[in-house]
Amino acid sequence: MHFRVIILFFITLIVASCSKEKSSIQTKIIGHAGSGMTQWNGLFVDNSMEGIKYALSLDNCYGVEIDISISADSTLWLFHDSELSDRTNGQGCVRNATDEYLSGLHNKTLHQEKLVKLKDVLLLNSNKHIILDGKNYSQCQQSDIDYGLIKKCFEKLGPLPENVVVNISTMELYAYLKDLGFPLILKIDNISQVTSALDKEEVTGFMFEASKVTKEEIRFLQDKNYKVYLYEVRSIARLKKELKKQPDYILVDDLLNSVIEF
Amino acid sequence: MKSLLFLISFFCFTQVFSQTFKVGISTEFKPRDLFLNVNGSFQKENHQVGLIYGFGIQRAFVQNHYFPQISVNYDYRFLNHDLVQLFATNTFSYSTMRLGKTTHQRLHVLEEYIGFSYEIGNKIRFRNSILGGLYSELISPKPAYSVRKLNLGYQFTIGVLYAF
Repeated sequence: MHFRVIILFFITLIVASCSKEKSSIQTKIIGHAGSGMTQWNGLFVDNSMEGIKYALSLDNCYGVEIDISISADSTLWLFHDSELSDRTNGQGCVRNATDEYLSGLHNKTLHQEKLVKLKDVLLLNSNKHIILDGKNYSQCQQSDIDYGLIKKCFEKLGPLPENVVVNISTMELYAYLKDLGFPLILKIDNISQVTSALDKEEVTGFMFEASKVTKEEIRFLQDKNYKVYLYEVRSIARLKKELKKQPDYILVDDLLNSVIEF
Repeated sequence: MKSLLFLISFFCFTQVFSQTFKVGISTEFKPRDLFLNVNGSFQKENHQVGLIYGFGIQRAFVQNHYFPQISVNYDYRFLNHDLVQLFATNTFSYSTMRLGKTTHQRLHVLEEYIGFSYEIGNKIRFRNSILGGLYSELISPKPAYSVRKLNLGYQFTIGVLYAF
């Protein structure tokens, strides 16, 4: 008798947690820097293989955005900052470190996640969206990275899968990357900067800081068949607010709680 | 024979009076959510077992999403001083939530924490706990990629109980 009551209790528990409500939201969620950045309760460090796998495993996560930096061997690595000592057990800049040196480094976190090459992420063969945020400025050298070198790194990597897009923060880089066969999205501060990219065929979308674009501006770009991406969406309250603008993609930091909105 | 019956009666009498039932409510802070719980427990001398049922407040009220949790608790009382009781606590929790409205994917969280609790009061008691340990997050159906499942976790609990 007691056993039946316990079983009934558990069945009630499971059934009650099944929401019947269906989502009508068209916006898609992207994991910022893998499974999120700057989250005090995050499970995985940003730009880690574990975080990327976790994000790609969630049904309602449409893809990941990752930050890429160039090593001394012209290889693309996943790393957000320039200085290694801030986040890892290494010293110096990513730009000056060899692949061999970077391969031996790990994050200064409890689980000591290793640094990851972009090539290893592409080997996951996920069909979900992968946005590459290329760092074209080196804090260590206090100067822009040679755009020709950025092009060389992508050429070294070979053709990118169709699900990969590259986020650029200056139209000066466009001339170097436009012939490499992958779509580009341009990170801009406000809608007035759109004009520089409107006639560029390879530019398929625009990336905005969420607070710097309105619903009407997003609609204007969507009417011209551009995709609109929003970032700096760190909380669920912020996500709810930005969903009302109906962008195509939102890069979120609280990934696990964001996916349950859909 | 009479003395034996007396001893048995005395033993049973003292046993009955050393048992305490408690019911109460508590809030439990975990990195994942803040849980609101109802709990019941049974204390016999230094041993106490409890059953706790609750749900995540943030998921429920901010996201309109049900995130239930059930826990079993074992306390060993190592200090009993007037109105204050101090316990070593071991708790095992299971919580689950659906990962969206359009998917059948579900998150399962298993937690095994140890720590300390104290109760202050007589009939009405205030109880606080601080616990830490391991938790495991599992996603079902099995996801495309395997990721780390075991992590370190912690929780703080504050609650009020009625003992009878």
